[in-house]
Amino acid sequence: MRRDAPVILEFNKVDFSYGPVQVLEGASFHIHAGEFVALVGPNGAGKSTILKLILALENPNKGNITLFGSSPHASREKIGYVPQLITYDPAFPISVEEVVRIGRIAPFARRYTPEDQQAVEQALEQMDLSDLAKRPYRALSGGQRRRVLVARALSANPKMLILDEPTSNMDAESEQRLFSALGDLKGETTILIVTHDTSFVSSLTDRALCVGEFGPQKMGRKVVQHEVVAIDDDSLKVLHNTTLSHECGYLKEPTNG
Amino acid sequence: MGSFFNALFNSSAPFLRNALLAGLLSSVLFGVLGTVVTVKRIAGLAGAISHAVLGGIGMALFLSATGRVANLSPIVGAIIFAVLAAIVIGIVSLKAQQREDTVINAIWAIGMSIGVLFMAKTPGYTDPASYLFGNILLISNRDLILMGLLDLIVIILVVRFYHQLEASSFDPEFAQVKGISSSLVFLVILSVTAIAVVLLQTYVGIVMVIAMLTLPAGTAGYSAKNMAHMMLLAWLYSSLFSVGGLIIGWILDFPVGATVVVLAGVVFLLASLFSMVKRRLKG
Repeated sequence: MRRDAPVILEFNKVDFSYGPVQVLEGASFHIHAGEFVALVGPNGAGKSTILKLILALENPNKGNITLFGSSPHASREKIGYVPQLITYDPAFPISVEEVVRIGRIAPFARRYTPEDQQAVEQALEQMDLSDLAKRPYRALSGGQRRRVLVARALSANPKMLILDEPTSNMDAESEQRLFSALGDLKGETTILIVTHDTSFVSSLTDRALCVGEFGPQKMGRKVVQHEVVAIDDDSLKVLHNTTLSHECGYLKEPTNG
Repeated sequence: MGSFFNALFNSSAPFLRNALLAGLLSSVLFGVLGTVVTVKRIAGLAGAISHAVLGGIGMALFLSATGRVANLSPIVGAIIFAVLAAIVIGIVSLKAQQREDTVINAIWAIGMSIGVLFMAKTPGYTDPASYLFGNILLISNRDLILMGLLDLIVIILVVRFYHQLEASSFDPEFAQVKGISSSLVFLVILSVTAIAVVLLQTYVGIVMVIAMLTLPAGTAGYSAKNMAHMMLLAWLYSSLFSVGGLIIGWILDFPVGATVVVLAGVVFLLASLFSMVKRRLKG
């Protein structure tokens, strides 16, 4: 059972501010290995800040963050990150396969190995992109590009996958393919999905964490856990009028798959 | 055309041969560095650095002509201002949350203004136009050697760190997460661009360096399959524009720097038009 699985990510009373603007105040939450967690909250609440803290792109002002038993900086290579938007040159000349290969990059490696190539092919297959491998990335639709970025993250065989607003600007077919792939990964890989849709999350979700309520000093936001209930086969509704402790937030008993 | 080749092989007038060599050597930097500047969309930053260089040139001319610092070469002043501009722009780009464009444009304008003020107070006649628009007569053997050295350094860096450069240019944040210091890559690119701008401004001038850093790479971008392909194509196009501009300039008695840039600009616009029509036809 995943609630008995080891905790791989823990925020302990984390404060963070951009200059005078306090974003997080006493944010505490944790995620167990193998869980599928949705981090929900309105735009500007601090979801992206939480991701930047997990990825060691920013450091907390107070409190501490533990990722896989050590600091985020030391452990972030175990994370597969799928950004919401990347501000790349729209005419950037690069093929789908080359984008996915970036997921295998090492800071000082001169060339990719046959193992890297094998991992790239596997990731392309997982995301149903093998046919598009040689296509220019710029020629793809928004949904296809998002799946390429998921494949890029998967190519490094991450222990944890973080997806920032994975379904924004995505067509229905790509969304269905994405969640089908995530369903296959569920249980083996810890998955954290960030979404601004505060009401509904995927039915794959084990727990919903909400960033939005103000902390004790009313300066920054904290993270709370709300109850989620099934409304159909595909989605769960987040009940914002409930607040659960971090130990009892499961909609259903988690299974390994 | 015959007179061009006669002059080219005339050992008593080496300036045309030097200009041709400068064109070919600068093409490496225009192609390789231009591709990086273009895909990273930092042409504005490179433009600010190139224009700030005039301040350093003016300062060096003034200090040298007034005897305050004897025989101070304009290139020394240019390098000082280029590096200072690169450092300020680098810090502002990486740290500033807002008003980045204001600072960059301020550096652009203040650098040029300082240059004009110093030149106005420099004893004797100083022609800012030769620095703004380039002058092939000013290319010395030392310039060629420095250009060759910088070509070599840039090629070695790009070959060695191509994958890291590609990753950081495509998605700096993801590259950072993978352990590549995107900030360091960015600062190295800015520094190399600053030095390159100083060396290249002798050939095409301060104003037009930025055009040559973007036009051949922009043209190459329409047909390149990846960044390495884009670098090679941009290198080839830069060479063709440089040699073509030199021949046309010689035959028609046009300023070579401006001719090279017009040639590159016309080909870029034609390539853009061709690409647009092709996209429309495809639907």
